[in-house]
Amino acid sequence: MIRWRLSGGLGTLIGPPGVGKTKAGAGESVLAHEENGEKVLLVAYTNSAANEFCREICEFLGPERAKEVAIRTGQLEGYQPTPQCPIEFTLDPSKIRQKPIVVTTTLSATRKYLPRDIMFDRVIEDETGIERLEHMLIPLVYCIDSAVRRRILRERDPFSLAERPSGAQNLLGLLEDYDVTATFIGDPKQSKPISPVSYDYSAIAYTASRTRTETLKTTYRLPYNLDNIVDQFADYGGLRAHSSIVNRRLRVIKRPERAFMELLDPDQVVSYVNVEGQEQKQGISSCSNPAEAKAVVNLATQLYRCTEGQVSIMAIAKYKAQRRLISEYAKHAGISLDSRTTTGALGAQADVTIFSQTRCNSDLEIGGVAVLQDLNVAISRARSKLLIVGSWNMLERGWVALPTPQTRGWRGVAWKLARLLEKHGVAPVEAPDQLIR
Amino acid sequence: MHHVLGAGASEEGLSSIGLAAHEVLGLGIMDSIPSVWRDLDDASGETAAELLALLEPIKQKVLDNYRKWYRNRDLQLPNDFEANLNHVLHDLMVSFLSKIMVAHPPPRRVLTELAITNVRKQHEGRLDVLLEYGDGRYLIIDWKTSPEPAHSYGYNHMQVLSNALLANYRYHQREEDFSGCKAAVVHCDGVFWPRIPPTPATIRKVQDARAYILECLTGRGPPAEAPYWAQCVACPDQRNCEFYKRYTMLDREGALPRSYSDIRRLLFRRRTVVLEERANIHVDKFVVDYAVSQSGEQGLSALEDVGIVERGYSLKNVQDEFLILQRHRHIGVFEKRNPVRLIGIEPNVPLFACINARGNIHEVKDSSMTVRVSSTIAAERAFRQLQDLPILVTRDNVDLTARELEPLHFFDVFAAEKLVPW
Repeated sequence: MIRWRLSGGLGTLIGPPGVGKTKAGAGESVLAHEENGEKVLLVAYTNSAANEFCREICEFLGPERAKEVAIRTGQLEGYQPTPQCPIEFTLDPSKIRQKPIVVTTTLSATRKYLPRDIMFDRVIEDETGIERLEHMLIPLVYCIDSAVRRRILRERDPFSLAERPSGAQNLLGLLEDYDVTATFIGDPKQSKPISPVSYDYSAIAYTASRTRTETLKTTYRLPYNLDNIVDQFADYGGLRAHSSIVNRRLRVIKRPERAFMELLDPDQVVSYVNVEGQEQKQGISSCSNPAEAKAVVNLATQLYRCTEGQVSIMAIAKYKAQRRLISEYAKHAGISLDSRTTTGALGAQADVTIFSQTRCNSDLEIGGVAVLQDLNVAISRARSKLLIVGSWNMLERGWVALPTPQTRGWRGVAWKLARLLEKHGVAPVEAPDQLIR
Repeated sequence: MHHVLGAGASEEGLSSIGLAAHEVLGLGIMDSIPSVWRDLDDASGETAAELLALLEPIKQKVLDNYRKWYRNRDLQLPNDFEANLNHVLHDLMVSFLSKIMVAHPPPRRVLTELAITNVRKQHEGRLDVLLEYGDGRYLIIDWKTSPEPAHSYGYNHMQVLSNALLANYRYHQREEDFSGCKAAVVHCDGVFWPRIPPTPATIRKVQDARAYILECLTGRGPPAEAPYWAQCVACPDQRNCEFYKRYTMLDREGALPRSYSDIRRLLFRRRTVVLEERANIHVDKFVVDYAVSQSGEQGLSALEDVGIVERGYSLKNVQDEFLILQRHRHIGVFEKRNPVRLIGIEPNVPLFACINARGNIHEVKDSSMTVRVSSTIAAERAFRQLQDLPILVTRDNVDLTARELEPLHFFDVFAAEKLVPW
């Protein structure tokens, strides 16, 4: 699926969760360098997605070789090299010039971090579902000849005669005419741009209809039956688990406590824990739910106990306040729990994910939890088991105060998830007392 | 041009003698010069030399910062940078000494690089120097490091009056109240004293200009108001301005190829979205200001309960570009990488007119927080000004406008070059 990208031009790669979009992008960069000797810029909207690029490059090339050919730059706090991923972080422009593969975030692909005269043969952008068009254009400036760039930006002489006039009809056509090579990777059903305009489109929505596009359909992350649920929830039209992982299940070493046995049953890839905790407003638009946060941490503690710490666990919540509360409770419980918002979870995965719905109120206003992209990300991070913690009543009957294209009307899409869970034999289990203590 | 169209953006970071001079004076005037001021006899050359000697250690720190900044960009600090900086500092100090220090008593307190936000007027600015006399009098100083002569030059006059409106808001909660206010623009060859209080017509001119800029920034596209013809000659954005004027005229006449016209419209639509997004970065300030002005202490407590602000901090230490704060109890709301504003609560001063500093949280550990600010000089300055004040930490927002607008301008010009035949 990467080979056709090596011929150049612009292309779009749409990928449902776990199909290997980031891997494909990293693979393309490695092949472009090794076969064509190209200098490649890899960008992603978030630090965690950019770091995933680094990890994938290390998997392709091995840590030592990856360290030789690739470099990470941008915000200092966004990246830490590890023994498995020793790609260096630097702000030194001479090192950035030297290395054939440069990884950074989209918003750091600017003159502040990249040498002014650097030029890339190819740009690969990940998470373009969360980017707006102007974000997508930021790194593409570095595919234009540096002399032309300097003239336009610094010497401010925009009236020179065109050396190579173009007959392109639109912006992407113009870039292709100028031999700009770029791959736009993402999934419009996993992320949407943050925009003041409710009907704004993402970068990938813009490029998918104007460039050669390929959609990947085999997931290497979601086992059966989760692949079906995610496929039908987001209407991917045939997302299926690869044969090597279709039967992947949670490996339990010690028997869980009686109260948790049904919830942590490895054969149930998806479990729903019904917790009717009361939400609490935080900040201008955030929300937390202490009962759900406790349930999440208690579940994580049990999981660590029964798997002897051999599995990775990720807690996901739509709201920052809930994520913070979960982190706080986890700290008190003495466990290390990777806790993220749905935005921060984009591009990430874990053996077990625990999603906290958070919203629970007497008005049944479910709000942002009913957004397709957020729910899709929340339920598609798990490699072995997904636990959803929240109010079943809210999921089934919740409504949205302000309908948007992403919520698809007053009811959002949370009810759709409830229907699918029922259809696939996932019934809500009442939270045992120990869970919310 | 830069804030609305993304055209003509200057280099990020430290890039000129003028900025370096501001940095040196920002710390020096607060740190070393007041002691000389108290014992001042005359404005002789010896006194000027003494002042410059006091600034020397600060100047070396600033130069070290610049060398590091240039090295990080694989560039070298120009050979004449230090010499030019010395020249500017000398001339400014002579003007400051002979026209201000000799003629005025030493102030009780000196504040530098003070960012004030009058939220309700949607006006934000940074004062170079604010001298407080403690009896209701205050003197605003604006450094002019370019070689223009000291007289009433339109932009400088308006700028210092604009700053005076903010200073008035700080002391009187009313921007038109000029009682106790004085302002000076310090040039390399003298000092210009704008008329204070200004005439009502002049105040209205500043307020109208502010309203006009706000209309432009909110993307409402107010009718163009041509600037005074002489200003175009000195404007650094002349070429970019010509570009946009010329192609707008051609577009109106239907003389542009359809392909470029479509691209142009697309890029202008995106600019509108970026500018609308820009308005959202000020939401937190509005919420805090509204809550405090309506409900005072109760409002502040409510903001704390919902996690928008946190009080009870104090500044403990400074190390390089890091400020280390301590809270009297556990830090609940803030986390690593959050952009924050540290506000030193001053009695009888509106919250966003208090001394403040901005940065990103580097680390949070129990009741201790480390905040990284833009430079070691900024950190030192913030520490000196905030160390004895109770600190309130509030959420801040990163302004991505410049980063988002610049590629739009770039590809607009690029597309024009490639698609418009000449």
